[in-house]
Amino acid sequence: MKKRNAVILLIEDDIAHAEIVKRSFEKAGFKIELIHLFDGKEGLDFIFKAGKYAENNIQPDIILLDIRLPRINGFEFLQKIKNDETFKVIPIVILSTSSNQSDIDKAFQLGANSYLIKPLSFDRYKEMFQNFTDYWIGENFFPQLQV
Amino acid sequence: MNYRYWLFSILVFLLIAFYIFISFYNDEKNNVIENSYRLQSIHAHQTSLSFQEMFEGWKSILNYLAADEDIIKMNELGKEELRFLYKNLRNELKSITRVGPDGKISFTVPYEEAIGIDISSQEHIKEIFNNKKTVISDVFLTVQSFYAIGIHVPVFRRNKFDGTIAFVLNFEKIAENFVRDLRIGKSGYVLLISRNGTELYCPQRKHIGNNIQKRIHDDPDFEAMIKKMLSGKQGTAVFFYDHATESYRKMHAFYMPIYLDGIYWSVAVITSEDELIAGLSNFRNKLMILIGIIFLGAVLLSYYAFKAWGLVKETKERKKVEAKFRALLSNSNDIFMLVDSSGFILYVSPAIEMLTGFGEIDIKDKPIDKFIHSDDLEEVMKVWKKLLNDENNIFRVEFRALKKDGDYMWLEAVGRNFLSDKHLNAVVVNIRDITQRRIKDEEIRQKNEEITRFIYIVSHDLKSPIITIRSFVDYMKENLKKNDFQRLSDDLIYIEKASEKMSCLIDDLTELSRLGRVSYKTEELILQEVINEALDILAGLIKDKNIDIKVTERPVLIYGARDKLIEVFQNLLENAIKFTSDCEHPHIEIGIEESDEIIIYINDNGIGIEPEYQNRLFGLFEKLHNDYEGTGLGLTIVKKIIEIHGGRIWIESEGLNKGTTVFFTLPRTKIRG
Repeated sequence: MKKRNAVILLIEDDIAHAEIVKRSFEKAGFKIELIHLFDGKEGLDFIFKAGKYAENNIQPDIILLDIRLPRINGFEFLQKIKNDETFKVIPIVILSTSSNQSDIDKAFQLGANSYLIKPLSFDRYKEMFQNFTDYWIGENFFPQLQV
Repeated sequence: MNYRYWLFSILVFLLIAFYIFISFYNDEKNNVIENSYRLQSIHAHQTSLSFQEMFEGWKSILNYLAADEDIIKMNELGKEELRFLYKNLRNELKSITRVGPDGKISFTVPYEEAIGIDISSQEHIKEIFNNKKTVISDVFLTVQSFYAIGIHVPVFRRNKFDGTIAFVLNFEKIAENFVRDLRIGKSGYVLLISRNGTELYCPQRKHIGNNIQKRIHDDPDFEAMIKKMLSGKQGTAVFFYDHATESYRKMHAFYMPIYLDGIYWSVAVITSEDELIAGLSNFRNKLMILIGIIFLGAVLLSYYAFKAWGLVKETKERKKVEAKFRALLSNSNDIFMLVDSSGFILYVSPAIEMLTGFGEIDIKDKPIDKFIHSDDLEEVMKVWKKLLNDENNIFRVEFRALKKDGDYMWLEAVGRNFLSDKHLNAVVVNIRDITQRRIKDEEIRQKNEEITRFIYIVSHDLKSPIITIRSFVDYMKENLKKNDFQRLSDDLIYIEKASEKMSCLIDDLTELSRLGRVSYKTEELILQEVINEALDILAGLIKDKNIDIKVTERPVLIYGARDKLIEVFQNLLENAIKFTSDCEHPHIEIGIEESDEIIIYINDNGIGIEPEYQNRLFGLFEKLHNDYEGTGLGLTIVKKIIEIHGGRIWIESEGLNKGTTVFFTLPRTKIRG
């Protein structure tokens, strides 16, 4: 497989939060391609190549997902992806302000791969990406991932 | 009726039975004793006759002798004759004596040494010397010094009294011979006394020859009898000392005199009562056993009769109680039910019909699960199984029950296991309609959920801007370090927007929470005035966006809180303006449809809403469009105001870019609150 930057899909309705995530990656020195979408509907269209993303041919390596989103919320999005034979392999990390245990349980029940509570410290992002690098995705997907 | 009463009747019955038995028995005993007296009298008479015959025999011999010349003369031949006679009769006779006219013994055999002794002082000698008639003596002490009885016959020589010829009888032997075997039963005996009280025969040999009057003083009954005997009377007597065995027991006697020439003896035939009634006792004992058996039978019979009577009475009473109970049950709102161990309904109180529409007939003998909603069946069966295994506790379960019209209602059942109670042998279930309570519960639950959700969302949405502010403050610090002022001012915008958002959020939340708590003054309002006020507030915005707004001209009166209704229109119009801003010819229409209530609609030709999201819009913080401003609380506030006014609100849109219509209703009349 040809070496490329990791593609991370961020689904987040708060522009400021999206900016924070973006800056965290930059600060950690990860060379990534970050795609930011505002709600679950857009996210689903992107993955399933529907609506205005019909022509899309990018499949993200990781999805960072907020729960509270307009139109289609994070849980609905999660459920749809994890029930799909083709796309369920994409690791989904929940990014939420909610530390509510029922939210955490629900997310994992629906197939979330990780659950991170905002605000994240730089260290936690680093750990998370290290984990995905080592165990889930494999080095080939992140050849230029360097700390 | 209790056992004490029953026991008492048994006791009374027993006493009466006993009394009757005793009186019968006594009658019979008296008969037996009466008969025994008869027997005793026969014996006594026989004894009397025997003695009389005996004495007659002796007398005839003596009379023969008295006429014999040799005896009269008392010559050698006569003496020889008497010696011969004595030899042959010595078992019966003590002696044969010839008394001369002078009162002296002229001859006697065998005690010839007594010849010549004067015996004229003896009572019977005096008597015969006076009367010149045969005399039988009492027991007397002979000159030969033994006790005996003498029979003296006068002797006449040429018609002139010439003394007597006498047999002196061995009375002990005679009495023994005559009387010994005369007895009734084993304990019976005969008492024979002479006129002066000498015991001629008594089973106690030591008493024979003694005067009985010496030993009778310690027994008054016996003494009385003896006195009567001595005075020559005949009769019966009872006394309590058995002289034969010298022990105390009840004795019955028949006594009568035995007349012998001029004198009398007295004989008593005596038998113990024990022996008399021995046959009777035997009979009595057997009768007692028989009566015992009959009595036991009677006791048992009366017990069962008593029980049966009690049952009849109990049934009567129970029917009364049951009737009362039924009346109570049929007038009670609670349903009372008896269910058997396999879940079949044995009984149900009539109130069931009022509640479910099913009559008693529809429900009786049917399994309970037939009437339970399938979603609740598992829970009910779980409780039922627990109940079957536990007789000590009360079990409670709530479920939806089928009504006759096919609907379901919420019931609460409280059951207790009385299966081992012999009277009930069922599970007793009390059923109550809890539909109202369930509705309230559901309302409370929904409210709670709403509150939980509210807190959850508020905390989330308030947290969001704080996270932003905190993060960007950090970035700004870094920017300052790096003297990167361009980035500093960019980041500042993030913080500004976040704090603005927070401020709006708090305002809206305050508004929302006040809506639930504060009551507003409602008044009669003209709809157009309210709309115009809202439009005035938004005038600048409308002008900027160049929106064409059309308001119905029909004057309509509404009731409501003026400021709040202005807010509703302001909010809805703001939304409409917001979502039509990208249109080429933005157009908004405010209209009215009148039916029972007033329906107001605000229609725009804006971006529209996909049908699947239309219902979500009124939720807390729900936003469909991230690229438009707002806290997401606007429609929530609007909905709340409409609800406070007793109205409803909904949205219709045919889809994206097909415009949106918001409808809401207001009542025509003033509402309370």
